[in-house]
Amino acid sequence: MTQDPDDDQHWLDLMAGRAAPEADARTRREAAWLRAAMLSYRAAAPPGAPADADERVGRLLTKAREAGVLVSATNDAANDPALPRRPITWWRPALAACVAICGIVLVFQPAKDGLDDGSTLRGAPVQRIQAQDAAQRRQQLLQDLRAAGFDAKPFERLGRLGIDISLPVPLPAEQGAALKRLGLVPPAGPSLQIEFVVTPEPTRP
Amino acid sequence: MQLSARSFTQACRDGGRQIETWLRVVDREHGARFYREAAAALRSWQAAEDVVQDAMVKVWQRCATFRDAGDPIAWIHQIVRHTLLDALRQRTVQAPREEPLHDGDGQLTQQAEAAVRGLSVHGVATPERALAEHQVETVFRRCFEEFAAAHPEHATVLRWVVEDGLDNAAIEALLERSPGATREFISQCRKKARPFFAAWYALVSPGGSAA
Repeated sequence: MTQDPDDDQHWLDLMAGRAAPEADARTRREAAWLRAAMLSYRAAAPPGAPADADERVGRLLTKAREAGVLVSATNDAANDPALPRRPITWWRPALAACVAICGIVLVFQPAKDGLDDGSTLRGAPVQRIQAQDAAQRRQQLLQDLRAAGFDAKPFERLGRLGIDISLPVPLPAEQGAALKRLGLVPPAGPSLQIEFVVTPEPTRP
Repeated sequence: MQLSARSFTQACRDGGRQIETWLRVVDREHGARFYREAAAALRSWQAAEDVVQDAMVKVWQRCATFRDAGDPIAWIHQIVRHTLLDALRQRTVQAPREEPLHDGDGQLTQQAEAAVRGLSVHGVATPERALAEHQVETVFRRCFEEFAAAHPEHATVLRWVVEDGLDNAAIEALLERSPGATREFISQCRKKARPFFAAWYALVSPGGSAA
C-alpha cells in the first residue's frame, strides 16, 4: 500500500484535510476513515491539571536563571530601577573598549585555520563567510561545530545558506576558544548566526 | 503587555526584566494550551511541565534567530513542539517498544490492507455514522494508544497533521530534517500505523460489525 511515494504524499494531504485529486480511491478511503476517527476521538490530556500558576512560573524562572537566560535574583537587584544604582566603575568602559578592539582585530585579520578557502568574515551577530561552494563549506563547518559539541543547525533563507548556533550565556572559555579555532568571533549573546556568501570563481586568463 | 514581534525582539535585545515579563505573560496566556498538548502526548502533567519549560528556556537562548516578520507565539509553539518530539524520541530510545508481536510474518499488515481495500465512504455506512458506534470508538482509542506507545513521535506528528493541517514544510521545520528525510518520515507514519489499526479497520470495513 505504500509502494508509491506520491501515494504517501496524497495520503498525508488528505489526512491534513487538503485536496488530493490524483489520489486513488483506496488511499482516499483509508485517509477519510482515519482522519474522521482522529478528529472524532481526539486524545485528551490525562486526568489532572497543570500545577498552580505561581508555583509553575516560579520553577520556570528558576530554570531560566540556571540556564543563564535571566540573571540571578541577587544580580538582578543591581538592575532594579527602584534600588539605588552603584556608580559605574572605571573598568566597565575599559572592558567594553577591549572587547570592541579585540572584535575589530579578529574581524579584519587575514583568514586562517577554518577559513583557509578564501573565505572572509565580518562582525557579529550575523557573521558572513564567503566561499565558492557555499553548500560544501557549510557542511564542513557544520560538522566541525558539532564535533566541537555545539548545538548547530543548518538553515536556508532567501536562497542563502547558513548555520544557527545556540550558545550558553556566559559562554564558557573553552567554547569561545573552539569558535575562534574555527575562525568565528565568539558573540556576547545566546546565539550566533553564520551566513555563507557565494563568491564567483576566479576567471582564468 | 502586547506579545508582538517587535516587543519580542526588543526583549531579546534587552534581556533581564523584559524576558521575565515575556515568560510570565506567555505562560499565563498560552501556557494552558502548551501544557495540555504536551500532557496529551506524554500522558503526564509533570513531564509536560518539564518539556514546556525547557522549551521556554530554549526560546530565549535562540531568540536572536527569530525573524521580525514572524509571529513570536507561533515560533514559540514550534519550539515547544520540537522539544516535545525530542522528549518522545528520548523515551523511545530509553524504552523501545516492539511492533505487535503477532505480526512477525506481516499477517496483521495484510489483514489491515485487505480491510482498507473494503472501506467505503458511500452508502449507509458513512464514516460519521459508523464512528458513532461506541465499540468503534473504544477499539480506535486502544489502537491509537498502542501506536502512540510504540511510535510516539510518529503518532504525535500524525495527530498534528490531522488537527492543524501541517504540510511538508511545517513537518520539516518541526523535525529539522531535509525534504527527502521528511517524505520518508511521512511514509513511515503510514506504514507503522497500519498494523496497529488492523483491528479497527476490520471493524469498520464491510463485513465488520460496525459497517
